[in-house]
Amino acid sequence: MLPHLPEITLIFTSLFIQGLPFLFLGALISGLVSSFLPIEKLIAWMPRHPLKSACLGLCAGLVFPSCECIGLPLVRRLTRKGLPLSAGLAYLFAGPAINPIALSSTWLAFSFEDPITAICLRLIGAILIALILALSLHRMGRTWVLRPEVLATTPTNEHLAQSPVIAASWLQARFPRLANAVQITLVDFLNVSLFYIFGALIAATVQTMGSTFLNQTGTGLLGIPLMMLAAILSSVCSSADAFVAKSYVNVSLAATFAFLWIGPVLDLKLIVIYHSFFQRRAIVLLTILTLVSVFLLALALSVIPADYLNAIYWSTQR
Amino acid sequence: MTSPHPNYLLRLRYFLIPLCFGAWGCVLLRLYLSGQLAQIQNPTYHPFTFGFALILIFIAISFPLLFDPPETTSASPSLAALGGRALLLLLPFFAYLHLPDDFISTNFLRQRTSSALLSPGALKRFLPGKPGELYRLLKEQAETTPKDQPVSLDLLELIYLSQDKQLRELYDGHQVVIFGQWLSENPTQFKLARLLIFCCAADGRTVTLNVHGQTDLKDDGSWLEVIGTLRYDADTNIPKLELINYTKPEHLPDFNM
Repeated sequence: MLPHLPEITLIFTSLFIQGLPFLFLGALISGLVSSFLPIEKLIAWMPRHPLKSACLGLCAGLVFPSCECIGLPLVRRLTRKGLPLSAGLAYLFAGPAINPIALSSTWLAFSFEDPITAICLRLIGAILIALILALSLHRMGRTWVLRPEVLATTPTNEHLAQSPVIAASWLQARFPRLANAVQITLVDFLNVSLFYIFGALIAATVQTMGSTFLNQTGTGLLGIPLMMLAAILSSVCSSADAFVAKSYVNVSLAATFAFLWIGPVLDLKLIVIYHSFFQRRAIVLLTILTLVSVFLLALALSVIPADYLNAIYWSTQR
Repeated sequence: MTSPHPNYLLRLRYFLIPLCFGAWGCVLLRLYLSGQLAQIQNPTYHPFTFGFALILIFIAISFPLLFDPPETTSASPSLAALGGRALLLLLPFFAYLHLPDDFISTNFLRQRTSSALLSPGALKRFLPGKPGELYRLLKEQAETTPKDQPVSLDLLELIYLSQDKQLRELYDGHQVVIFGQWLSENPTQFKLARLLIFCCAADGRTVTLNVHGQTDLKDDGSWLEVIGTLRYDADTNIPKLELINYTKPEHLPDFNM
């Protein structure tokens, strides 16, 4: 491992630098939303039916520009406040892939081919996978899926009183909502960033050790699992994954989309960060479900006759 | 498990947060101000990193004003939990101290090598402006310069033009000057490499161009300015360069990445 230490250090540092500002942004949004918006009223207004609330989560994912790092602290906090599980999970799993930033980068990356079809394929796949995951985990129940501290239903202030930092009393006396927001931001950021740092370390180590698999593209059906593995190893941010997917040479369209579908839901650092929110058994279930559903979707895409998809299949022979 | 020194551990836990935030903020600020950030992160994200560094330093400085010191009656953390947390939180700082001087090692470049024929979509992040404009400029450059007079090309521009049949025909046999990092291959051939960072170094991909010829270089990763004749493989359309001359540039060009 020591000969690889420079590469591990480099990848770890770059993941840390890349992800942490967005984790903080997510924690800040969760602090502001929890403290300044009548979030309980909004949650009470939401439909209780799992499919309907999941669809609402998907709509939120389409509108709000958020990556994996922003989404998790927000969903974690809102779920604690009573957000229906299927809504939160649909947003968490689909949001990074279908938000305006991810879609615009997909548009740019496929702009030499047919960006509209590419965006449609990305949207359909991401929404289907998010729905499968959200509804399956919802069916298992909150206590089976969520960590005990996320399930804690004590009022916010009482819960925050046990946190490692307490907002200053002068701030609480003058601006109680701001004090609450500041404290939630810091507590959520610290909680998730601990998992993030550990996840980045694991991702950097495994990526360096398994670097052979980063460039294995394979042809035919083998290309699909290899590109899925490359996405899991490289831990790419969903705001730029379309460009990375296009940087693989001579990869089938199905394998390219397998890369784009799996990356925002499952990679090495995400698996570790999920531990701040999910029970371990839920992470195992969502890993299996993601692998199977992405593979099957990509398989379905690969059997569509090439004539229908020629416009978005870039070939080196052009 | 409670500690025999509750006040001491509580205070340690309290001050660990501004200490870590200060250390992280200083690392990010130094990377940004020294320009080293460009080696591990795409410029799109530099403003976020800079802003976040300032926020971290602000929180670290104003921490005692924003957050009250712990009450002595609070439950004390265990020494093991506190030690583990401190180790994890300070890990990025120690990792930064251990970063190699040249950041991107040749091992790293080699691990991520792709060929010089990417889908043009992958380059959209690195070639600003409309594709049509670049196409027009490259076409004009090839048409107005004799084939034996070298034209300067960025390695990414070369990959871009290699996607187009008409541009390939114009540049096939043309002398070009290209910058890149030297990677040894075999006695008759070497590679000219460039690392593309889409988001951060974790997703970096190295694009390479095969150059036929010999150099007396020994250090993998040295920056080179190569003059050569561009040729295209008839079957694969992959470009290659026949070496005419090479020099080690005194200053690196601005690659916008």
